[in-house]
Amino acid sequence: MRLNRCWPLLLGLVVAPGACRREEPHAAPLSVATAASLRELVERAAPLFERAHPGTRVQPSFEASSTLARQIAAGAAFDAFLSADAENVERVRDRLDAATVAPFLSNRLALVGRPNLPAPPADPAALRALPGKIAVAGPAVPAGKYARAWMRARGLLSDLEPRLVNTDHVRAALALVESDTVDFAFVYATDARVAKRARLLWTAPPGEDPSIVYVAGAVRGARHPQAAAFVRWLTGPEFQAEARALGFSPPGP
Amino acid sequence: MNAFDLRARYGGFSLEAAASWDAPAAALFGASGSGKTTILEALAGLRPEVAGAVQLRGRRLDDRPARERRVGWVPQDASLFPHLTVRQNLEFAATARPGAPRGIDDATEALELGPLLDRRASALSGGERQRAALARALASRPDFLLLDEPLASIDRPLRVRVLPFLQAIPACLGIPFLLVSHDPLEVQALATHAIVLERGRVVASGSPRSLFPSAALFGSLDALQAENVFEVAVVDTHPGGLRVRTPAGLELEMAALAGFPAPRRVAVRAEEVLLATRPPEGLSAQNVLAGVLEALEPHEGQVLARVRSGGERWTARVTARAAERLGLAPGGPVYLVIKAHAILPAA
Amino acid sequence: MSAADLAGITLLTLRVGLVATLLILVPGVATGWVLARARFPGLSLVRATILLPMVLPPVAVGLFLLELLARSFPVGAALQRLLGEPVLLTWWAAVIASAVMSFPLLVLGAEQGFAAVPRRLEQVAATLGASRARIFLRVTLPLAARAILYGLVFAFARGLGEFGATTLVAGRIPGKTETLALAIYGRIEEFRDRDAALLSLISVLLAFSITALAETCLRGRRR
Repeated sequence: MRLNRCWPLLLGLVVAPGACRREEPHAAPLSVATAASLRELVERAAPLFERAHPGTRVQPSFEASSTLARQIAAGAAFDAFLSADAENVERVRDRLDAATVAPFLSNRLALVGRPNLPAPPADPAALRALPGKIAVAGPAVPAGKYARAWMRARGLLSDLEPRLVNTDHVRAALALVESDTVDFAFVYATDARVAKRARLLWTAPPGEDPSIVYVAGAVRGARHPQAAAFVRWLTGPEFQAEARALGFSPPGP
Repeated sequence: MNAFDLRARYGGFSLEAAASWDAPAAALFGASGSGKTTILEALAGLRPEVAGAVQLRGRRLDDRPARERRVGWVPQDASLFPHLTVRQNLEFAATARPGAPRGIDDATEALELGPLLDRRASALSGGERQRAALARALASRPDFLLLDEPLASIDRPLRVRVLPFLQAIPACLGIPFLLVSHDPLEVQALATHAIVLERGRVVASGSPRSLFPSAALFGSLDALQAENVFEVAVVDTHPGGLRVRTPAGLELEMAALAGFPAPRRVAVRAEEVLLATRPPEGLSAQNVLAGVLEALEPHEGQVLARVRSGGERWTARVTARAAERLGLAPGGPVYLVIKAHAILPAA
Repeated sequence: MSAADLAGITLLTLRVGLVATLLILVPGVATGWVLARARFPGLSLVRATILLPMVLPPVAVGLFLLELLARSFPVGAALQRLLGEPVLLTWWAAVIASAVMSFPLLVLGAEQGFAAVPRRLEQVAATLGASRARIFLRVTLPLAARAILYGLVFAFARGLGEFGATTLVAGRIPGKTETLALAIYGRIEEFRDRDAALLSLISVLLAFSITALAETCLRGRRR
């Protein structure tokens, strides 16, 4: 009968995932809420922390900082929060261990474009004269906030606003350009470096407003014992060296 | 000239029937499952699985789709369009074919549909639906009518009114018909030519009078549902008739049966039994039986009289008015009067 | 959020839903008719394919549409020629996403409606001499209308609430593709909870209105 044949299959589907899980060295991983733009950096640097702290497994979640702040505010069980701005850290200040909160990176804005653009602009101001949509993270996402602040300061926002396409986070904006769906995107300079097809058109000069500062903090009452140590390690030489290699800068004065 | 030669095989049933006839009023007769509805629908062009030749009124139809055959088909369940009123159903038929629209008044009047015209088709009784469906078929001015058990859902009082209309269709409207029925009396009343089917094959054809009763119909007469059935043995035969006797000793005169083996049972319908309170005189009926009225049962405006006579129990059906006029009362003496022709052989 | 913004988002959502429903009306009813009447090997496969958007996660459908509508793909290129600009991230992309996601609902309703029409009625109509078109318009369609209407209402409601596929192919562009569903999500992401709640309330009111409208329409047909 059809039902008899289904049983082994259903049973297998239920059992298999459990059977596939490897033995864990420790009960729970170190769960880190990480800004999307830190993907490659954290993926490369995490094994260094794990080696220094045997038995610890770093498990990052990459999302927009605003999304992560919301989750933390709702009580999500993260051990640490790596945000692309101070504002989202402020939002969840009462959930964080104040002693651990500190800036740890800085970044610069960049404009990327589709690979086959007929007349690639050298400056965002030139976008005014060009057609095509501009992908940018949503207004609450740090990358989107920074980009909008930069455009507003230069009187470009009102002109370009109708052409802005909001995305959930900065990597989604990059993806739209990489997939040829959209002509331009405002991303971080570090995102442009890991882009596969998108062309870097412009980078904001160092020190230009707005200043982009990443802030981290350990979650109060974090389950993992190494949470505070991890946040401290972010300002240490090991992590900073990896960051430099990918184009990030230290948090600055 | 009408004819068909049809073959089909499906679901364990095989059909191989051929017939031809000229009569304007014809019938397909047989028990349920004999294939008569299949043949009727095949003539209408609705059965692609039935192959063979079809000719109605001299026109070859088997190479045409249903909509081009110009036949009016009235299925057993009327199949009126339930979302339309009776009038709209008729108008659908009247305007279906391209050309000048045809009137619906004749059919409406003849079938007494006036008060029903603006009623929704789904709000009619069985008999009303049948009449409306017939009117609809006529409204499309067909060349030929195919009627599936036309009187089946019409109660007896109404049958009396509709029957003459059906009978008149070929003559007055010039439209010949072929009807399907399992009731030999219906066939006898409406058709001048009957085609008898049994298990998908034509076993006899001819005028109903000559066919019923005949050996070929032996099995079909069970459908008669007669109220009076007796086991008999033949005691005497003479030209034009025979005499049979029941186990209780009652003797009855039957009409002759052409080419028929001696019946072992006979059936008489209750409405064929007359009642008298005095021994009748000067009657042609050959069977006059004295008996006692045991009970009277009113039933749908009629009265069923239960009579014991000659050691047998009889049921006679008369109108309530007749029973009243005669002053019938249980316990009193009655006489049963039955024509020889009313005693039918049954299987 | 101003009342004008609220009205704008609501009207945009209604426009997307209405145009999407209009687009799928004829193909949906026709497909339902074919599924109800046709008989060929592989029919169940065809039906399963048509019902996919109803069964798959909407984002998965969105991903598929993303490929289909990309300007590098024939369909996307053709649409770009038609519209004068790439179709992705435009109002039309939102309409297409809604249309695709709500199509199966209309097809199901239509299929059930047509399947319930007794063949015998169509046969009788044929013997009366009616053309196939006449039979369909005056017998089959009216009798299937109720079920088709149900399918249409569900399709419209589904199109209004579409999120997963829409967010992928149309993005959230205020004034152009920001439907109610996307707007609610966006406000939540931007920590504008009060606005999100307001928009949700509008969605609920919209849903009630649609069901009420459907009930009155269908009650009219009840015999």
